[in-house]
Amino acid sequence: MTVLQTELNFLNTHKAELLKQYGGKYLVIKGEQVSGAYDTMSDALQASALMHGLDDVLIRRAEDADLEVSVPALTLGILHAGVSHPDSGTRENS
Amino acid sequence: MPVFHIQIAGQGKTPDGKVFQIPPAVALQQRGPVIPVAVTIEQNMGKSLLQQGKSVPTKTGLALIDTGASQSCIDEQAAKELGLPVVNVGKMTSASHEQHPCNLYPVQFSIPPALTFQAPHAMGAKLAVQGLLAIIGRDVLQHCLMVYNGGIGQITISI
Repeated sequence: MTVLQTELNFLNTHKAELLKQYGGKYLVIKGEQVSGAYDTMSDALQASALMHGLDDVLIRRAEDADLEVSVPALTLGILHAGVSHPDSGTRENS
Repeated sequence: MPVFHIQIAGQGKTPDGKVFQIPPAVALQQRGPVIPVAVTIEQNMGKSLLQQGKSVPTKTGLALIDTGASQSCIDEQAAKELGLPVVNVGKMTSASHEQHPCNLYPVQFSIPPALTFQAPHAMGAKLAVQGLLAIIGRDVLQHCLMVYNGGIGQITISI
């Protein structure tokens, strides 16, 4: 089970009613409960830290899909590829 | 207007062990725009934690500026050591690989002396093996003016 799976399942299962109740607000979801609904991501983060400290929580609008992240340097494994110096020596950066 | 400016430096070793300086333009071309960065929890969460008398640890290291990255990234192990919470889950996509889930952390990047950026959805990734603490992506760069001066190996960033 991945991190926040319980929260994601809850959100996906109850999406329609959460949308109806909270509209486009940012929801703080812990377990299968909505801890709060906020107008901005910043407010939601601040409130989450007050309520839940550093626990993992899902902060997302009910209407949002999964955020798609594209980092080709990681997915293609090209980070640091071909860094050898023309002299074939090792290299230390500062 | 806060400005960060750096000339990339590098050293190499010849096969017989002699150290030599790599010209800044070559170092920048080979290593990419790598800059010093301090990473901590996103500022609004940090404020709440401080109000509760909790500590807000910071880690320092190197960040690669990557205009190809849609989101910034933090080394997953560093995120755990900082105690950062997972606040969302994303999908890492590419043209050649299947999507897979990734943890998203609320992060603040500080670039000395005076640049600070919030990245509420920084992706966790194994970066330490590359000598990196973070990747600074377009979610942060959208707030910046950046000059990549390849000819003299210099990077300038301002807000």
